Parts: sequence; C-alpha cells; structure tokens
Amino acid sequence: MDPEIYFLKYAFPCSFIIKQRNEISQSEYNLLEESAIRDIKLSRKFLEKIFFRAFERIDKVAADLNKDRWNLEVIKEYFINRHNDIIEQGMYSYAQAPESLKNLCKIHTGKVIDISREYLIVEYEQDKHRPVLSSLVKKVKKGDFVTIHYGYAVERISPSFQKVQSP
Amino acid sequence: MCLAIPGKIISIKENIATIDYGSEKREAMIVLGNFNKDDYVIVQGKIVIEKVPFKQVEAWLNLLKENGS
Repeated sequence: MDPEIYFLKYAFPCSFIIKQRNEISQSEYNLLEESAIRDIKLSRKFLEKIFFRAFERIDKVAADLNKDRWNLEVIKEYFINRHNDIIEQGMYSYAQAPESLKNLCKIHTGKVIDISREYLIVEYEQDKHRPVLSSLVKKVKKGDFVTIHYGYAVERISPSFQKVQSP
Repeated sequence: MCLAIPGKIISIKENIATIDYGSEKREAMIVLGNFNKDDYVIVQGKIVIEKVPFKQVEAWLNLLKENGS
C-alpha cells in the first residue's frame, strides 16, 4: 500500500478533532474522508500541512530508524508502536486530555465480534467493546482482528500480531 | 459530518438518541452499551461510540477550543 494511503487511514479518524478546532474546512474534511474510504492518494504536501503534529513525531521515528518520514516502515512504527506511548506519557497536547479522549485517540487492536452493514463491534482488551465504522477497511469478517482509532476500524491485521501486542 | 465534542443525550426512542450540542441537536444510533438520558457521549458517523464521564466533559471542551495546541 502507498504510504500516503496508509498514513491517511490511520490519521483520518482524528481529523474531526482538527475540524472541531477550525484548522480545516468542511470541504477539506470531506476530501480527507472520501480519500481515506476510497484509497485515494493525496499529495504529501497536503497531508503534511494538515497533520503537522503527527509528522513532528514521525520525524523522530524516521531519525531513529534512519529512514525517510514517508517510508512505510516508519509510518507503521509510529502508529502501531509509538503513538499510544506518546498519549500515555501525556506528551504534547495530551497532557490536558481527559482519560476518555486519550482512550479514543489510542490505536487499539481487537477482534470483530459482530458485524452489520455500517459498523463492526470490536472487543479490544478484555471486556472492552466499541462500535466502529467499517468504511475504511475492506472485506472484514466476524473473528478477524483489526486496529481501531476513534470510531473507525483502520486495518485488518493477522491474529499473530494481536498475540504480540497483548501477551 | 462528525462533531468531536461530547453531546448530551436528551431523549432516547428505541435505539435512536437525540443529542444536544448546545448550538444544535443531532440523532445517533445506539448499537452497543447502556446509555441514559443526560449521559454525555461521543458520536462518529451517526453512531454513539463512547460515553464521556461528566467530570471529563469540561476538559474535552477546553481541549477542543479553536487554536488548541
């Protein structure tokens, strides 16, 4: 998958927060949503401008891995492994964030336990469930493992990944 | 269209909650969990996804103000 498309799938669910702060217009929000759903590749410049906070953090990962900020491995490492630590440690604007917001901001991995036309019910940690929209992931079945971010399922992942994440 | 701020449930009819955001009211579907009138919730894509404890509502609103860090 192109890094631009992969990045947007993970970043898009928090763009409603950016919209709420009036940093982007309704039409920019709509473009992000449509592009995330339909796997449309947006320009790097546009994504870097809107999600400048994420790229400040991605640059640190890129430096650690000695790779470019648009390297897919760098972007995966950021969203899958480092993003939650940053939130947990209360860095950046997360210092003032209430627990319920931090929990939505985190990227969880979980199992799809129910499915309907528009949403999935995902069990992510023992006895924690969240309904999430299924528009960003294709061909998800009951029993599959997915990552979730805010109210969206983002990516289908292998069960072995889930085991690594929650031993 | 999504509203990132917590809204307050003012009524629930079957599984459809009417949610007050101060400036406007929206309807959203409850598909999981127990929600009551006066609960504050976060909605995404017309689905109620999480409850926000009352004590945390003010912190949400402060954080989502325009030009936040």
